[in-house]
Amino acid sequence: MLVITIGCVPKDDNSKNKDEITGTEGLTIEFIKNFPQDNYVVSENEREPISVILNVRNKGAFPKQDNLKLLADGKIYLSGFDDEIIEIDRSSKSLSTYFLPGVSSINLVGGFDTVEFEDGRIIAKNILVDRYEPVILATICYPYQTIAGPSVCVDPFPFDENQDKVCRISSQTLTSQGAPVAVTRIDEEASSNKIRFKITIKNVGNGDVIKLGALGKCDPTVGQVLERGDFDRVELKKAMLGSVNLLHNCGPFAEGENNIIRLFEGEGYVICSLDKSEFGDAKSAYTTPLNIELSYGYRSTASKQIRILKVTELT
Amino acid sequence: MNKKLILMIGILFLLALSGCDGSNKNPITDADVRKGIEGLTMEFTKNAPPEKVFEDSIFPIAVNLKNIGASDIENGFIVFGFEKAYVDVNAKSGEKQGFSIKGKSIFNLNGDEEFVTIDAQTKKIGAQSETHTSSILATACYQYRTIFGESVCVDTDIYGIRKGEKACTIKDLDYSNGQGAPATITKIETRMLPDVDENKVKPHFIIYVENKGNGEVVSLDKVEKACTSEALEYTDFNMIKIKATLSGKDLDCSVGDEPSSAAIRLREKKDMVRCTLEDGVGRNIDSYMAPLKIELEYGYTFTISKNILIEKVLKY
Repeated sequence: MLVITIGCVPKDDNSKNKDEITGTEGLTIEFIKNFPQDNYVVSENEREPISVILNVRNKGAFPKQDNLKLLADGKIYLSGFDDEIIEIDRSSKSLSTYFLPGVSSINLVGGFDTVEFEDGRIIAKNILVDRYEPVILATICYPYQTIAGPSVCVDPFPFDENQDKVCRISSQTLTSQGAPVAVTRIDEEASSNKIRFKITIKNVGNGDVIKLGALGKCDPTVGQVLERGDFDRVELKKAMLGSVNLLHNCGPFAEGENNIIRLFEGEGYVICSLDKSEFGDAKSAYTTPLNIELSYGYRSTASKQIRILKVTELT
Repeated sequence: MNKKLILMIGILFLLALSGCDGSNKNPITDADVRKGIEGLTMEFTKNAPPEKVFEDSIFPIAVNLKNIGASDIENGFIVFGFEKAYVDVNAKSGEKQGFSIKGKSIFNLNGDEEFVTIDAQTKKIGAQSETHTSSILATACYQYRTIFGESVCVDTDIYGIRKGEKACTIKDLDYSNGQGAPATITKIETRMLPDVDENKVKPHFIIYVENKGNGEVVSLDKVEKACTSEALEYTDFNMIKIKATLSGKDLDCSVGDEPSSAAIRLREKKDMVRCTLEDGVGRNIDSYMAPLKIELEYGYTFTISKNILIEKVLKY
């Protein structure tokens, strides 16, 4: 009894700053137990109902409560089976634009929804073998954003060693920002009339980064197929140093002026520079947030193997 | 005393809990009957024929037939062979008997069995001999089918350049346990071939077949002839008809231009055949599992024998 009582003392964890949202996941999906079942037994000419239900959780920080509609382009698709044996009238469903807000200081666990493919049927007469063992693959494709705002040092006189300075030009490593693509590192380099920021980003989730404009190709059963060039493309939407917009001084970009950063083996970078003329009339070093906003599509999957046994009638 | 009682109650409670697992560990319909390399088995029953028989006497011959394969036998034949100078079938019995036996199914896991009995008669063994050893042969001839069903991967990404998780990937499949029939499929290699239509791929399967039973494969239409004294041609042996479907669509397993020539000819009991889905599958579909069904049809024959000792009736 004493042990149980000790175990019930609430723990106040003050070690973590609750305003800082971390994590490497965006939307996640998992099959609800028994939807679909592990095993089905069907007889000739039967149409056995099959339901697939998925839990969808938003474990990342996007979107905020006031712009939930940004997830409207997200969809979940089912594939991996012979559609003449397992008939599901709508093998794709759109994501809810109401129930999937990101993690925030007032919603520490993020949004949650269930997506149901309830009207499925197993057509027994089309199973010509004793047992059919498909893998039900659920694929979720959705738009997502990463927002990072690390403090960086702006030093108008980086080579003046005589001044006392509140910060010095250096590099910093970041953790994650509650999204599958993270800003992992900011390297700063100063010259006499310019400061350059090398922003390194990385796919830290367990899925694939895809170009926002290619989300429509995500359907694994019909339409166009995702090409190589549709993967590993992240759009730099915003790069603001304090109130100074750096976006027009960033590069290299993969596709002309589209602000697209290309990832190689899951990692990429962009270099943004700040001209001395944009420092204002600052006379000494100061820290200011470098607000970065990345936009991309993301695809992840969950799979479950099922087994369908077809039995002949006992005559 | 109280501690023991509490311990007993605790154990009983745990036992009751463990019994509450709702899952059925031995479901009725989960048996895999399509395994093994035998179809029909045959053996002489004990003392029929007896070890020793007297000359000029009638004795029984009984054979126990069991269909332990997964296909039913209809209109099978069993023919008995004798050393005609010493033993012959009794006038009331025939040398050749017909039989039909159901094979294994999920509702009949052992398969059916049947007895075939005839009476035979010994003849005189000659003045100079007191005994003579003679062989009795029983040959079974029957049509049989091997049905192979498996879920195989259809991956339209021929060169594996698409990113992301796939529902399945192509791999070669080995089957060493047979399919409940003497002719078995031992291996399947899957290939996805490019099509003239660049939006399609053609699933292609290399199917390895082997006669793993202890008899001989004969042509389907020569089964009855195999159980007669007529000689079979060389080409009547080792012929197996094959039919394959993928998701219910016929695969082309023909050799040459004639679609009707979907047959395998075993060499040293083995052969392979290539089957292709000529209609192809759209390239824009991601990989999926599709049911592959292969049916082999053939005749099968094998022989068992037993020696008997014919004794003269000595009167002095």
